[in-house]
Amino acid sequence: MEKIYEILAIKIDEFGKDKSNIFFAKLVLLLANELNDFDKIVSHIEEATLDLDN
Amino acid sequence: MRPFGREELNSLYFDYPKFKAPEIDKKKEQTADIAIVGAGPIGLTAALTLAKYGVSSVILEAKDTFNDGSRAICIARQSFHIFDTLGVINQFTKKALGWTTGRSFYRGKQILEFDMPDDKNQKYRPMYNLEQQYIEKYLHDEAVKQPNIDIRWQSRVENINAEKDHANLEVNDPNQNYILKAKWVLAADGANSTIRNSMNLRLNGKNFEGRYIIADVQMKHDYPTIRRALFDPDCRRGGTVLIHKQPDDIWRIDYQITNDEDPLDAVKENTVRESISAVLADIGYSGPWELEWWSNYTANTLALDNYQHGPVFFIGDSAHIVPIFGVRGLNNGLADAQNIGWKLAFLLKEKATKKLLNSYTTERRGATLDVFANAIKSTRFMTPPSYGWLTMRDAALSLALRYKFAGELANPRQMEPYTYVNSQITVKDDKRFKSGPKPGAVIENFSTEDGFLSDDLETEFNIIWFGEKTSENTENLNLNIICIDPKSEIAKCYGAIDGSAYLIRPDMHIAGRWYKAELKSILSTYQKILNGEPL
Repeated sequence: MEKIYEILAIKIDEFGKDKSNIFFAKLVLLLANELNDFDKIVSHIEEATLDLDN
Repeated sequence: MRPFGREELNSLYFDYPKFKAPEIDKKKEQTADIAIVGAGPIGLTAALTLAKYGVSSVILEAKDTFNDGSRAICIARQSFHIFDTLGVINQFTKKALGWTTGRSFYRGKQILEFDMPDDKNQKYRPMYNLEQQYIEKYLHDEAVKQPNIDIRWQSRVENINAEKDHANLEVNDPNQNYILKAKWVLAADGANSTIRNSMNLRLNGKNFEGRYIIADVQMKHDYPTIRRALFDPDCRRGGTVLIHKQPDDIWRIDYQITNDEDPLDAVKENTVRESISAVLADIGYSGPWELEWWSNYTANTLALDNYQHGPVFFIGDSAHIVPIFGVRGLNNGLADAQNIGWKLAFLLKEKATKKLLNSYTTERRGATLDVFANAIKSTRFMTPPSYGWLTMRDAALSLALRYKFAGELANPRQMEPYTYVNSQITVKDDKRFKSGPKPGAVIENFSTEDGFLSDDLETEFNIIWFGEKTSENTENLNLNIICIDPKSEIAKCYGAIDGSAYLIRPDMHIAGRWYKAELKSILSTYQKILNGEPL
């Protein structure tokens, strides 16, 4: 997991604030396509929204 | 709009006729069983449907010719079936360009090619492109041959007074003013309907953000009849472009006005020319072209809450305004016209009661709401309304360059005819059927030895009977029975066994089906449908 954490940090810096949103959206769509489990994906999306300071 | 120096009806490929106003022999007070307001494609289809059953109508049209510009150009398969029943199909198949394929591009690279369902069992292609003037001309050519259609051009309806069992229309033409008292009125007078406004009725729904320019150009461009959608192309960064081929070397180019463009400037001729040049350069066309016509457009999903108000029925754009992306504006209007057409004809021929008419709003407003649900999806994809929708759209398009699953998100899913499953005149499904088209749906067509199953349907109700012809006489009820071998491919497709039956309405929708049928109970259901009794 630590390695993934590092790779993502480097990619975010590489694409900057402008493009990282699209990068993350692509990543989620790819993983969702791989996982192919609607309920699980939606529950992970919900979990990711928790504790985000707005 | 036309280019500078050319008048409104000065087209590069179409000669507009000029129709005369009625002579001065009209009485001050006149009567009609059915008045149709508007001689566009919807009004003409309604009149021809009624005429097919021997019912007369008067069409009142304010203009003196067909609509300017090519407007609606995509005609769906089911609309071709409607034209087929009206005896006008040959002109359409001769001129229109059939198509099945669409291609989507993202920043110049193709991300999706989709095919709409089509096979040898279909009499018509899923979609045809034809300029609206031709649609109107072909319908009009047929309407003038019909002795029971009275078309009055240059006849403006100024006002309507709708009572419980009739309506009075105040008509103005260059020669006279008069009152036309009609038992029934079909308002086919378009998006800015005079009838709707003078009855103080409002369309409800949503307006969308995106603005489009719709332009037609004439050019010798070598590309098949394939709909192209360009997302975020070089010629319009951040915008979307749609390209359709039409007959007479006319090409429809729809493009989104992007956020950094001034909408007032975007409709000016020079700006339109520059924008089109950029699109043409983008698709690799460098030859000469002429600008034919253009207009601007915003996506709306608006509809009346009820399509019937006393003796007045709203059909087509007067009842509902839908975004262009689902290509359901014209097609749904044609289905409205056919739907109310056969129902009113059955009423006036004393075969049905007024209650049958209640199903018009249920069925056709239901179809509109279904279009809205789909159109909202495609509109969001074509013109994302917010940062969130834009981010996900761009993510999907960017992924689609390499992954097929993401390209499917760009598939516009051009719609199939709506299923009237919730209509009061649709029988609950017989659960013993394991497959086959369900009640409310349009029949599955099939190629037969000498044509198609749809060719065997007669103008009123039909029974598709799987098995031997029965000896019972149904002539008095005007029911045509089509007998089909229960061991055939058709029977398999319909999930039928020996003794199964389907009851088919005049518009090809299935009223009901019986797994092990008795003719008596089908006939009793048929009577209940026409009487508007609960099924």
